[in-house]
Amino acid sequence: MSEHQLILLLKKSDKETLKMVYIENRDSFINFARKFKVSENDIVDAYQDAIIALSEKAIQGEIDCLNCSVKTYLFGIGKYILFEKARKNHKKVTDFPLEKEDYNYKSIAESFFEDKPNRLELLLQKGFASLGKKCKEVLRLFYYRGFTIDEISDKLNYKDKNVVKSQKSRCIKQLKEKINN
Amino acid sequence: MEDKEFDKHLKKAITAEERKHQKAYLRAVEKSLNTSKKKFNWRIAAAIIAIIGLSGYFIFGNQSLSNDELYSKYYAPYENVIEPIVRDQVNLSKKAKVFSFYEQGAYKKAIEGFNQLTALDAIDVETITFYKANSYLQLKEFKKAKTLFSQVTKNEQWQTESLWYLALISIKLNDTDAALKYLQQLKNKRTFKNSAVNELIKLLN
Repeated sequence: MSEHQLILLLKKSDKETLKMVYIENRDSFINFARKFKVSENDIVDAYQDAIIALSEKAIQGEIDCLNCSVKTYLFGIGKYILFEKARKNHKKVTDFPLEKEDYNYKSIAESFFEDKPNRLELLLQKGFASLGKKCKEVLRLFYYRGFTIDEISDKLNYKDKNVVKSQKSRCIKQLKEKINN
Repeated sequence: MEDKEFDKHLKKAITAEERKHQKAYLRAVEKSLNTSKKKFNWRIAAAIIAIIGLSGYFIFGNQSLSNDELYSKYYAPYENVIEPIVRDQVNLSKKAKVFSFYEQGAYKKAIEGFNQLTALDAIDVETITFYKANSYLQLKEFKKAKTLFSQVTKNEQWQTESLWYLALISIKLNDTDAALKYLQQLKNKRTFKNSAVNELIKLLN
């Protein structure tokens, strides 16, 4: 599979591809990260977050024209996630020399751990998790995958975009009711 | 609240929820890798047994696998992909506690827990029923598991997974016709365990 095809599948949120990327790069990431003197459990934990960050970047269309390999990009994010996690947990890690990097991996890692969710966001998260499948799907496509109403209509085989619009409004209304109760 | 402001919060909430699912999925992948590594030495033993078995197969003729053997060959419990169990976490939510029992193999306790979960615990009824059915299956209470999986097939969320387990239960209960019916439904959908479904259809026919 070419790197381009790989990115396209990640963009489609394809679970099997995510699993493949995870397995293919896992051992070399662990070997690469060992030099920072972190436990293997912490490395695996950071690696999983890096994979999620990679998939989100693909979904957002930010790596459509990647000018390095997916592996380099993944390792770049992973390295800073490892540091960010260590910093948050007040753990020490070995310093690493700053290298010239194609992307600002540091800011990608930092934004992955944005501010903690506030009370409203926690309520919304809980409410979202208890919605029915259709609502979850529409809202997930719109807010997480960044689909337009037209794209959602195509993807879910709705008759037209007005049906999607009213479905989305109904779901948001349900969600608001849940968090207000 | 302004719509834009609400949208921003909702986006963050949905992203957090999605990340939780992705993390649980990757933990399940990681767990499967560790299990397969532990099984490494057994693989050699299994290979030797397979060679002996195959010799027997060719010597004594074409004997097919029994339904019990088929069930054991294809059955694997469904991983917890709902609630990642975070190491060293002290204050687990009610939902996390139940899934922690499930992961540890404490299925009776998990069932008790699933019975008490509601939409207020940020989980939908179908998911609760699906994992409860899996717990019964682990306890070899096939009929109870069957009833619950059948309920779940009415909803798309866990439909293919439930059809797969219903097929395996039918094999275990020696109801080949029913097993073939479920497998055929899965075959038509072509979205879940394609090659295993085709293999089983061949073996059962």
